Amino acid sequence: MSSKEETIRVAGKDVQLFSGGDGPPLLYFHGAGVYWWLPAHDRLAARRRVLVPVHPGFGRSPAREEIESMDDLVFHALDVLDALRLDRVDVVGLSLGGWLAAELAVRHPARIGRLVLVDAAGTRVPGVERPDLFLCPPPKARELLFADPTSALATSVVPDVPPPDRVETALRGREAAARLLWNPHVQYRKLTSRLGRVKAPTLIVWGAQDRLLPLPLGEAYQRGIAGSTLTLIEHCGHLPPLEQPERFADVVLKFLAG
Amino acid sequence: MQFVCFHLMPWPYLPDDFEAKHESAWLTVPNSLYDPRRGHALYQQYLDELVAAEDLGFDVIGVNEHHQNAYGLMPSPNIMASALIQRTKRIKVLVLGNALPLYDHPQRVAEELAMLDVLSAGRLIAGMVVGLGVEAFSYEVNPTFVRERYREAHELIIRAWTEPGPFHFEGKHYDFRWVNVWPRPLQQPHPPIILPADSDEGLEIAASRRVPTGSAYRSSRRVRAVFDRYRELAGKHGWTPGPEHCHLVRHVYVAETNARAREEAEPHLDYFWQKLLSYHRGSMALMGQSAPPRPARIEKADDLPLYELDFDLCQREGLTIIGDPDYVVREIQAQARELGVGVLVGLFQFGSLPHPLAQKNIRLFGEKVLPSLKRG
Repeated sequence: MSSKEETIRVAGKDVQLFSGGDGPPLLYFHGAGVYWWLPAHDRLAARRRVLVPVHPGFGRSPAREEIESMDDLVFHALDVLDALRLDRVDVVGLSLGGWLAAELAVRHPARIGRLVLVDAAGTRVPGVERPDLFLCPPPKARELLFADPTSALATSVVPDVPPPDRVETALRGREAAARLLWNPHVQYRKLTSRLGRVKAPTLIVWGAQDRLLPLPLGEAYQRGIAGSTLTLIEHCGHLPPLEQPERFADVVLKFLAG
Repeated sequence: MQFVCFHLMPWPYLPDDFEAKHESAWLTVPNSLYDPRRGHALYQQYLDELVAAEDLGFDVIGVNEHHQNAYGLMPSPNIMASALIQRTKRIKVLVLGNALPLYDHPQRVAEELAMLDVLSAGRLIAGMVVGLGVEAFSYEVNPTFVRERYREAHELIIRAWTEPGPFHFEGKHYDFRWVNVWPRPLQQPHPPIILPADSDEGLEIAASRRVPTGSAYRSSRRVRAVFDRYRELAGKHGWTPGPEHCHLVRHVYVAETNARAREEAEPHLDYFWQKLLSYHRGSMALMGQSAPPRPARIEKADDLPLYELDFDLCQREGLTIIGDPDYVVREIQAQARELGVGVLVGLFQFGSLPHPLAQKNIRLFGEKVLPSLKRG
């Protein structure tokens, strides 16, 4: 499967966009640490035209001073939908991108077809700790993110020292992530009570061994969104598209097919 | 030249195996290691040390702000300044804090500092600092906006002290419709300010506002580069800083002989670097990186994280000034000359240095060192 990388203009600003495949469009909102085309996208692109816009400050999308919080990113996402001429679109969001998808679905339900939230940030459950990735040295980060922290995948996504050609992008990405995730820390207190506004058929996908955002946070999404289903992926941590790409794509495509 | 007797008020009772068991003396350090009863006695001793500096001829006594750590037990330096004002008559009081971006209400800083200035009949020197990276965790402040908040809070405080109130301060991070500090500061137009800096960005702020800056825990080579840059930036803003604008923080210890000075100071300096500054191990993690491997051959103190510094390296590179009165006089004169420094901010108690040694150190400095330096 071949994918395309290009720069599009969104409300007068450059945005890096990956895309691939044919079929009805499927918008994928990436998380805070992995913002490039993945083998899992190839699998989704077997049935759908997959669009992966890179959030401002990540990858090759320039940072934008006006983006100070998730609220601003929601407005940016609306601009992305407009630029891509997507009146109503199916959306998959991972982690930070899942939180974005949920906020968008709460505020603009008419723009979302089907919704897939994957180990999504955003919910808060009293008593459930949310470990701080900004405070973690790489070995600890791998433990939080992967069911198998010793795998080649884990050390390539979270190396002890980023390779020289990735250092600058990694630091920019950390700053962009800090803007959105530092305070309030990876959640918004009022989101849970607003989830009733989500009208889209919703699938919640969660890695069974997610130690960064534990399962009760996914269960909060399921309780809040009427008619939603929660599917656990075994042998999988916080990043199902990376750690279990086949299973992830199967589950998502099956749900999207209705 | 001016001399500041400066204090961090550290916790000196961390266990010997602290580094092995704990990641850092900051943020995650369990506060069960703090004992309030010993803490009470410690505060008395530390205050006594600073108060003694007045009669020994120091120009300034100084306190410092840090949070959730064993390195310095003054989350509110203003409280300690208030205690010192009550126990002294003439000496100036430097508060270095306040860490402006940590506060959602910098008006409170303007108010408290104005109170201290009035209370002391105009003896306050107001430091304004950014705070450490780790303190963004302590106070849940988004580090992305720390510099912006610092600039804005600084402007708010200066305006609150100098413009007739009430007025509306309209900023991005701070928007206060009623700025009207009661009381106003006694010194006019406002208490002297110092903005310590290490980065170009920080030096630019100090240079553009024509206020003194300061440097700490750096080799003389590095301090020279920092102050040269500050002087260069000031030149671009149309003024020339004098020595009185360049503050230098140094650990200072005076004893009867060089050998005795080393013997008395070294274990407590080791405690300072290795235990209290172990936050640098954590701060590498904050950047998402592992600490770099220790180079096979150490050439310069600037190559090392602070927790790896040792006595000989610090003495050689000028980070510490420890010896007999003659050595200390000559070394301070040499650094002042080479670096263009006019204010020595001395740490006379550091790490686990016990009260009797700290007292002796301050007394010897006042009796045997200060007179020579004051004569020039």
